[in-house]
Amino acid sequence: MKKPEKKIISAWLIAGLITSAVLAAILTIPVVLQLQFPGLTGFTAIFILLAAVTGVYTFYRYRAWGFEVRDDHLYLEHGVIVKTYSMVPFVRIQHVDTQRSPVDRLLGLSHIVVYTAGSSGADVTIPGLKPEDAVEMQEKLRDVAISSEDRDAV
Amino acid sequence: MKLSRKSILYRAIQSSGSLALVLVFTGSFSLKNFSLAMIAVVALLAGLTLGLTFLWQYLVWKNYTFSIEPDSVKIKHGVLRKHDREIPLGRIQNVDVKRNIVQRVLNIAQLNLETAGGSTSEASFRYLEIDDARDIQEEIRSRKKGENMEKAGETKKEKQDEPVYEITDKEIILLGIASTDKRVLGGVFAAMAIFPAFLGGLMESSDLGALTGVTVIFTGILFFTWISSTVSVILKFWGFRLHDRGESLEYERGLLNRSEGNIPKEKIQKLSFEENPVKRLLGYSTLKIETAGYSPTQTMEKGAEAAIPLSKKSEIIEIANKVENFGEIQVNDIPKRARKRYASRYLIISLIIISGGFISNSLIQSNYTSLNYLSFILVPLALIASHLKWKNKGYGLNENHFVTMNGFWNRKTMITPYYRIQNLIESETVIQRYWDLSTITLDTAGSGRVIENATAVDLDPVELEEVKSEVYRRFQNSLK
Repeated sequence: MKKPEKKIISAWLIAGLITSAVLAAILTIPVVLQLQFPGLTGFTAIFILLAAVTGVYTFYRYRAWGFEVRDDHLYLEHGVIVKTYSMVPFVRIQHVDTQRSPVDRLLGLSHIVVYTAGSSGADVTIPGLKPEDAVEMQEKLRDVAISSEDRDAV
Repeated sequence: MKLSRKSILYRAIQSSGSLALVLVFTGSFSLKNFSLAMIAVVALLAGLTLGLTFLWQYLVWKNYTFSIEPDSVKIKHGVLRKHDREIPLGRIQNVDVKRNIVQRVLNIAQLNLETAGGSTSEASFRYLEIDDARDIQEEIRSRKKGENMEKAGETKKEKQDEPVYEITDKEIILLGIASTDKRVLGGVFAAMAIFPAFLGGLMESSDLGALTGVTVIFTGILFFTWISSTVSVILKFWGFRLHDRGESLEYERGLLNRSEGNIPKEKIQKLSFEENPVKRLLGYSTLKIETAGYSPTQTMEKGAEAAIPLSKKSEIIEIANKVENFGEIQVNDIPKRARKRYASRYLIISLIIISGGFISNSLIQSNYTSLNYLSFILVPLALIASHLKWKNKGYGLNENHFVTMNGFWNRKTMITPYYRIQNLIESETVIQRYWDLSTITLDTAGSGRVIENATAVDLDPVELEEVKSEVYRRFQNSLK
């Protein structure tokens, strides 16, 4: 079972901390406006709380992630609150993308998106890959998809 | 051959319908200077026109003859101008027998010969005795088949124009009654919006007469919306017929607006049997077929169509098996602890509602505490609901199809062919992990947003692992 690069933890933490800051700001606006409670203290308290939750969540999130290119399907497992284990048969792969978000580029990461005709098809995303690994995997998945493509994959 | 004699009567009445309208109009205009002479004139005119109409329709009938030749249909008609038409059998795509409610009573039918390319019928026999119509339909069909066999040497035994399903009068009435349309809910809400307003006033006056009056209005609204929904459903599914055309299934339905549709067989993703408690009690079911696929323009088409609006469950399974040969529907129970899970969930919700009621009552110091004690009925209801929820869940591994059953109100039994699987997904929520339960989802194309995927909910994880690998194995085999 492969795991995403450890660097993905930083990416998740950055995203999580930004969200926490925004959320804390939104929550403290009424406090600042109406009760004249020292806003900064409130903000910091809420932010620290949310950041702690983010940290714990990210730890479990990384621990839950795993993927494997097996004989005839792609296997993925992830999820903290809802644990999900998916099998994507190669015959069902429509196309494979590699994507790099700004945070990905900052950390030198890339991720792969596997598209199927299924409803949750666009959800088959593997994060935290080295760019060269991502390209290699994309090619591999594309090859196996083509080799098993004798029908319309629907 | 001739048309039915009854068609003289029917067509005469049909065309005098507009005449009656004219008479009503002139009648209402002349109402001011109303006199006996006026009535006599109108009556005379009416009688005369009616007589002429009958005479005309008689002549139309008299001059209409047709014959089925070995390779064509010949029609001669026309009272003043004579028409002579010959339709080659090879060009006839469809022989359609249509009947509306009056025609049903009169035992007559309209027979249409449809050819490719045109939206209107090439020939329309108005009207034949129903038995004759069926005979002619059968005759043309068999002759066409004979021709086809000569041409292509095919031995297609399929009776192409015999509907695989045709709704019966009993079924359509039952469908109307058993289907609760959105309109009914609208009516319920309307009634509920009005009712408390009245009730508030009544509580003070405690006038029994007014109370019954309001209750009558309340039930009246409900009854009216229910009737109107029943009628609309009946109109919608009137004369529903499903044909098997080999490559696709074609249905037509509707009394006022006759609509037709087409379900391409190669795009069928799954079948779904749906039954609400009324249908279950009477042993009826509804079949829906979900399709998806990439059309040549690469746009995803998806949707579910009621392939059979209502029929006896045994019959519906038999028909569905002709579309997808899945065999029988047999589901395995899910673990008993799943029932405990539902019970605990429903009990928690009930307790929140009950305690919420007590708290709010004590806050506003209301006198209606009896309602609070009444809310304890939620506890046994929660237990019953959890049992029903558990009992109506299940899954089954058929040879080529996976069967899932869910829903204790509108129960859905889904039949998913293994070869339609896109992704296989196993999932566990925190609460499921607490109960040691797990869910498996068979993701198929184009579903999810419109219609839910086939899921077997709350299985034992060990059992689920076996099911999952077996489903995957059968999926792989189905590709070979």
